[in-house]
Amino acid sequence: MKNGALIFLAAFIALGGSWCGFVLAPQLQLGGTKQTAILNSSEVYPVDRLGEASLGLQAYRANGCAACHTKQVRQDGVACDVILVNSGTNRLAVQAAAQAVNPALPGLIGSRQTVLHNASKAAADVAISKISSAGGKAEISIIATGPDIARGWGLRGSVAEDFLYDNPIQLGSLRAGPDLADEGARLPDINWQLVHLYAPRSLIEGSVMPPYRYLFKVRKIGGKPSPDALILPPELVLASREIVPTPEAKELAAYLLSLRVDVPLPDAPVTPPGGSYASVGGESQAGSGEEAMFARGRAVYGSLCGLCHGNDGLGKTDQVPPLAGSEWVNVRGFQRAARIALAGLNGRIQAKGKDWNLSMAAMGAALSDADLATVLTFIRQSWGNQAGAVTADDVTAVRAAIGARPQPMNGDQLKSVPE
Amino acid sequence: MNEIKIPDTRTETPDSRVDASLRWPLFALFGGAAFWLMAGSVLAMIASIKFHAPGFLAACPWLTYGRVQPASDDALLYGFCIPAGMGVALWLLAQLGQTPLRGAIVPVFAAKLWHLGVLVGLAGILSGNSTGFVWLEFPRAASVMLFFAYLLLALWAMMNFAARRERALFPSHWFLVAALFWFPWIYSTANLFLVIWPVRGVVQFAINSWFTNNLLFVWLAFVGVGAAFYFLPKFSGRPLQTYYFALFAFWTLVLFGTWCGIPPGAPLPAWMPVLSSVAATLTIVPVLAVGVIAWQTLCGGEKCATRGGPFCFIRFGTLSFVLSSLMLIATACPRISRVTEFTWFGPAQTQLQLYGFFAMTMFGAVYHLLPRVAGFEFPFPKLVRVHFWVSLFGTGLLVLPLAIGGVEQGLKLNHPDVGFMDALKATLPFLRASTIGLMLLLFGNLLFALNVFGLTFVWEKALVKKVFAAVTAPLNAPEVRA
Repeated sequence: MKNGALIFLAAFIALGGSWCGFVLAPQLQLGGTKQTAILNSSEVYPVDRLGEASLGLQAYRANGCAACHTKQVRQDGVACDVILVNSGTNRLAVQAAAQAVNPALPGLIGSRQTVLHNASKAAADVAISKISSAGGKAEISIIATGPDIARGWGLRGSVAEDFLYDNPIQLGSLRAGPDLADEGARLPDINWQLVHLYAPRSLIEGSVMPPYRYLFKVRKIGGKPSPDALILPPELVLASREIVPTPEAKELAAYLLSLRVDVPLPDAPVTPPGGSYASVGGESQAGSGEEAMFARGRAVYGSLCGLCHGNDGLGKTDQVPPLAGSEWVNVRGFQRAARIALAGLNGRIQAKGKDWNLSMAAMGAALSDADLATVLTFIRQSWGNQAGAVTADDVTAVRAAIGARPQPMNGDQLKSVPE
Repeated sequence: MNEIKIPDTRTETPDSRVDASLRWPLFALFGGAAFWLMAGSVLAMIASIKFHAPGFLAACPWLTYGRVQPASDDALLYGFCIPAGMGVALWLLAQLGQTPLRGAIVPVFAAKLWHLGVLVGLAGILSGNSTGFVWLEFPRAASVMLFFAYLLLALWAMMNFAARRERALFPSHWFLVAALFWFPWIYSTANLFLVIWPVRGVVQFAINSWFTNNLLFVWLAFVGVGAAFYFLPKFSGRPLQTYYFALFAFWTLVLFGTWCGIPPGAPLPAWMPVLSSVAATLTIVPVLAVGVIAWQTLCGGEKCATRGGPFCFIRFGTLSFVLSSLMLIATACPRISRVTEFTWFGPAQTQLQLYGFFAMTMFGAVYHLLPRVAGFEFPFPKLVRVHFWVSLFGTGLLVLPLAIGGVEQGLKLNHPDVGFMDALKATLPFLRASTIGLMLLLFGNLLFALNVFGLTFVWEKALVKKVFAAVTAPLNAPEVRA
């Protein structure tokens, strides 16, 4: 055949085509990507990780965590909730307008009532215009949908911006373990993360994750116990020995805590339930009025607790117990609920007539006393719960009582704590 | 106009000088490949056992799952598949061109350098120095060694090709020559832009996906199908059906196959996954073409008497190529991907591609050509048949449970009311079955290594004898007198 050279030349060009398509073009399009402005905020995203968290990505790479864990949330689409913010002066007209939009609404609607749930953008716009023409004020809350998001693995799907500073990028391709894109928001407890690395089965029954013992050192407790030593479940505690994480373990845990997918972006809009926890900003801005406190509680709940317990407070069937109507929350005393929030929970517990086997992360390190108080108040007064408010001083007192290194308890142990 | 003479591999006569010229390079390539095949198998077993007993070897950082698993994959791909493929390509090019290889010392050196690179790379992964990029985990030093070793091998193969005495171009030629220069291109691109001067963010993922697809799908297809298009007519005694259809398969594979590989759900600008899905759909054309060509060539051919021999390996390999490629194409469809993405279906597809298709095709080729090259029969010829059946069932037991378990896992994960642990536990019985499959493959690989190492031993023994005889031979009497 005489056309041999022609065949090879053409093949060469054709092969090069894919190089232009999937190497050159992505680099031209995305290579110069800069930080993006967060929706409804003056801040930019993402921010490069610093210190331990930045080194932790290398621990994640070196130990091949991506062999079993993905770090990308998949989103199917968006739905809109329409929330009535203010009924204005003519309550009856607003009420009628709202009921015209959604006939299933109760007779009397209050502030922050959800008028429409899981509606399309068009239907939501119609509802907004109807309510505002009646003199009320309503807002649209954008909710990302999809199984990953329903699982609480993130508020929205992952987009290109999320990975700007990840080098090497660790998206992963197999979910032999759960997705970790939002790990820092779901389990913001460094001790939980470290104990889970050291002995996964002590926290998650039936886990197939290998124990990373080599990231920890067993040391004799000398005169001065290490401040880093793990707070272990009782069955793992060794007499006169302590388990101390190596720097690599601490970096890895810091990196895991830095992972979250809850920032609304122009090409991935989402409304964090109750307004963004981050956008509510420092506590100084939150104000001290009862309404502002409650709003902040809702925001904190939405970006932390709601991922597992659900924004309706109903939990997840057979996985996470409900908070609505729970005997641990909807009671007069706040001591036990505050202790669970501060120190976490580990083991069997009964709630609402069912047996649960749980491993809840401690939120004491992630939240200030003031934020814990607002979120406890929000939980105790939402979804039909009618317990009293909790103040920051209350939480401070409980924190002082349980000490700096509290052990997560199980149901029976909690019952020994006074209400 | 003269009628074009269509080249036909059946008319090509084996040339013993060609075989003799390849002896040293091929033993260097296949010997190391057989060793890494075993090593990869052992690593894969360790990784698989960890799912049943997570505490197994957990205290040793070198053997943690996240390092052993990529190491086993890389040992199979870089340790076995590529050097075995290069050996087969060298032999095929020399044989088709009827030209002995010159300067065999260079490919021998390149083969040694390649296998040293694999050793460095695997040690790098196990010691925690992986680059973190899928199928590109070898640290920089190892990648550089592999790159130059490949360049030398490809250069020598190309020189042999250019100097060929039989000028006709066979269908295998297009595939093999395309493979020779495609690997350096994709491997250097991926290493330069991911490891040496890393691009930022998701561009890394795009390049990584492009590289993975072009190595695992396109490169392996070039070499594996190129070899099959030589061996199928040879064994069945019927010309390739047909030359022009093969040209069509080659072209469509180059045009469409190279654009696959970006997962539909990837966090990339939408045009990339969409383009990739379209390309994957069009890739059905070359895949089915290869299937039809093989079918037409085999049907009506002689009933081959080599039961469980090299022929069976090649046939099974070609069938696996079609099946694994169809699995790959299916996962590029957004609807199917929604279920199968992030599940064990992906590893099932990869294993069918790497082992069922490529490794099996290479086994067939090596069983056919190595005795000719060595000038000796295999020391355990009966084990070839055992190897075939063990590998066949091993591949089935590895791939089928993982694929079914993957779909089950995907359906459960898409249902948020099913707890994650329940979805995980549903996959465990399937993972157990796949461990048995891996055990069978380990046993099959052992049989392959036994024959390759046994033959190497026989050949080296004969070589030593020959050298010894030459050294101790009495000098010619007249010379002594003078």
